[in-house]
Amino acid sequence: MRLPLSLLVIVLFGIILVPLHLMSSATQKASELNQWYSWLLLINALGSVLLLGLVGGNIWWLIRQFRKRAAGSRLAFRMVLLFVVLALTPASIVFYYSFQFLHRSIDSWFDVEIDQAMESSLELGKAALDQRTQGLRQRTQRLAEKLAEVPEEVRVIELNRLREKSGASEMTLLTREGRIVATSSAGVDLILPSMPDPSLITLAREHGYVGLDPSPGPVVTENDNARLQVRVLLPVQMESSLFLQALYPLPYRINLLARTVENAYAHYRQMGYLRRSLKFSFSLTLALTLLLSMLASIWAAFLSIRRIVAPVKMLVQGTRAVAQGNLDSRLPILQKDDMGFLVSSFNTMTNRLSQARDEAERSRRQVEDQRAYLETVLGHLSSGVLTLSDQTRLRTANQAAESILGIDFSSICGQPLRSLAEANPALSDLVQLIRTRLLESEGIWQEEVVITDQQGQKVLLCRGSPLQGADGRRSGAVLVFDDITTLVQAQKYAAWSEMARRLAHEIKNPLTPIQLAAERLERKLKPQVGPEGGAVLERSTHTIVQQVEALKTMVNAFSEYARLPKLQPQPVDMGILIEEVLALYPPDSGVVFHLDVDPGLPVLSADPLRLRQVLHNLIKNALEAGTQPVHLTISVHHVKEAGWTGLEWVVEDDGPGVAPEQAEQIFDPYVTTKSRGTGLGLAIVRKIVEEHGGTIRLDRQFNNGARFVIRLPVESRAHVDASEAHRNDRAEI
Amino acid sequence: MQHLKIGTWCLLCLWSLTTIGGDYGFQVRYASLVFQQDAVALTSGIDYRFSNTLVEALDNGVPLTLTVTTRIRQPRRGLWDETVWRRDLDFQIQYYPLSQVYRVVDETNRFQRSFPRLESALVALGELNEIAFSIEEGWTPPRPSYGEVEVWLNIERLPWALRPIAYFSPEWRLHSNPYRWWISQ
Repeated sequence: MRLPLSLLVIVLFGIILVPLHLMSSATQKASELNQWYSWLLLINALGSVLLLGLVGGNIWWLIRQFRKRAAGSRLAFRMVLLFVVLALTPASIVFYYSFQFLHRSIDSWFDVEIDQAMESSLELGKAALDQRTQGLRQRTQRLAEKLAEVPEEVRVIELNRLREKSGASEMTLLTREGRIVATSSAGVDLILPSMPDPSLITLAREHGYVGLDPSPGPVVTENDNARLQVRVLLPVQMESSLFLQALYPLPYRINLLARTVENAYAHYRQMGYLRRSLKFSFSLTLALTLLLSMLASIWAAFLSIRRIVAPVKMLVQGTRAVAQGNLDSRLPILQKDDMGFLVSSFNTMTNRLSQARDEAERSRRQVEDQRAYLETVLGHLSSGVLTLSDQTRLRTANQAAESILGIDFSSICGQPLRSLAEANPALSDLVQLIRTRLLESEGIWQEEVVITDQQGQKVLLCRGSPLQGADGRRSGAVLVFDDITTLVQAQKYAAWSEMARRLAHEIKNPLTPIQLAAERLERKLKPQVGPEGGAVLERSTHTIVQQVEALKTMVNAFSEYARLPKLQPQPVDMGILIEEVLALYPPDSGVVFHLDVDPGLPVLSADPLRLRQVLHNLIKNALEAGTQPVHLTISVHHVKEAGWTGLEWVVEDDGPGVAPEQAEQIFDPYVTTKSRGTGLGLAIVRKIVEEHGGTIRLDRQFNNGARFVIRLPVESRAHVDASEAHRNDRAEI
Repeated sequence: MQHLKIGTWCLLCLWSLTTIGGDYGFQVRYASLVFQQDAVALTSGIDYRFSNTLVEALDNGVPLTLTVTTRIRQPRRGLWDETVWRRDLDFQIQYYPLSQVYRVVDETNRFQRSFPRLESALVALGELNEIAFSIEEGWTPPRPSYGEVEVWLNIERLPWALRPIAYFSPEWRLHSNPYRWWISQ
């Protein structure tokens, strides 16, 4: 629990004022605290030291804060300086004049005239008392003479009688050594007489002694201060060893006056003697009071300033935190004043900033999520998506776009549209189309584009649409590409298959009756037409039968193309498969093989019979197209590209190759450059390869023959397990 | 603890050194305690030599109080010796200008005497003959123990204005060395 500052300061000043007040009271003569003056002085001095330590600690703290340029230190420094100057200046002035006033006041107590008056009054008192004491001396002298005449045996009785007669309060007869011979006292409670000092006896030997004595008896009594007696000490006889001491009380009035004069004189002398000490002690008390008050005030000022500066310091730190992006810090409200209102306003401001930041963060995350979602969707789209800015600069492209267009988008991002054609010259037609359509059309457009590159022809279905911002203003365009080459091919193959099936069905059926009819005609008419006619008939029917056989062969080939059996995939080691196929071609077959197969090829999940057919067809195609001996190079490599892993199977021959104008149709059915064949060999090869998920293309850059590049993807995990088993089986064999 | 004890003694010695050098000071010449059935009697001889400052203050009417402290102490290893018995005797001396005598008051036993000269008063003050202190009947000091008598000017009995100066003035801070003797059976 924290005490309010005002209460703390009041308590502090109360604690300080108590010993100060007590010390001040102790300087008064009649005060009971007089005896505690030293302790009070010490307590106040210790309090000053303690406060000095506290103030020193605070000053050290302030210096450190100032050197570190801590928040609020300059304000605190100025406030402390201002307070100290404002407090110290009037206090110093007051102290200076109080000091002067004090010294002058003490000096004013003493005056030459008073000195003389005091001396005179004392002398007057002495003179007045001297007359009385001299009379008492003479009276005592007479008593001593009488006593000397009295026999020693009755001296005690005579002493008592003489004391009563003389009015003495006590009368004692004593020896030179101070031994009591006889004594008589007016008091009944006195056991021992008031003995003179031995020096008095010595003094009294010649002329006797008479003087005032402030000690009326050996025992201190309550009214001693008001009693002054006359002590007379005389030898009983000249050169006698006996002395008579008589004590005479003074009349009450004289006693009182004498005491008053003596006390006043003694007090004045004492004060005169203590003048310097009084000045010093009063000054010390005043200085200590000022010091204690000033230190307490400065300490209280430090407390106040620290409390005032604390919110400022917190505000500065809070502002720095906000500037560094920390909007979650909230400052405690220590005071319910203007500073507290300021801190509260700061907290409200940071709270709103924090809410705004959180809102912005949420929006940003939503945008990010949306963007990530779109990227994911676009990334997994088979369609290529390309966006353009309103200045037809390339903004974004998904992976499919890069794949379809054969570009590395990161290298041309942000560049004009024409950089697409620069990156891939095959896209120049596409770029021209896009530019034209963007200029011509404000709405959605769609068009098929054929691009031709090293990989071959691609048929792209390109759709364009303008992009609009939140304000409805056009901010660019989005282009969507679909590679419909496969679809077009599939449609084409489907048509070809249908045609082949119909051909097989429509042509094959009448061929057998034609062949049988021709043979029957020859058999029936040959005997009737004679030898010459028979020969013509035989040639004719032979031609018919031969052509029918040729037609049958062609129809069977079409039928085979149209009805390729379903794949039976199993783990296939391409190296082994190729070796097995090539083993069927002996050296005299007219083919010279060159093999380049990577060791450790991954196992394919494929139908080995169909892959053998692929290789047979390609070899057969090379043999039929070229002149023997045909040099055939077969290479198989493991290829890892972005997003694709598989085998690249290249078969190249040194034949005449393929004319550029026929390159596009080389894989179509019934397209051949050879004098022989059905024109279905390469079409079947392509169909088998595509049924395995692969691609085949004619390398147009190869000019020394025909080079076919087949790419087959590596099997899935399930097929990998199968391939492992296959390998194990082979190892066991 | 031993170090603390030594340090305290060193401080006291340094404090006492300030009184050395002037022809003034107090000295206990002898002292003895006689144990009786229900009292202890102190006999001691003390030399008082007042500094000029003290004499001046006395002649200017400042009363001075001399305190004679008598202790019976028991030694302890590693600690301050334990005080098992202590009595203080306060003697006030004051000059009376009208009477021109020095009055000495034994404030403890309420006796008083007057002397025409300061020397006589100081001599009388220095002779303590069989000053009796009452004790519990049959009480005897523990063994081993020693008696200790010292005398000092009681600054706290001075006028308040003099005290701050007296505490820092060797002429005011008069204190005898303790006189010690082993108490035998």
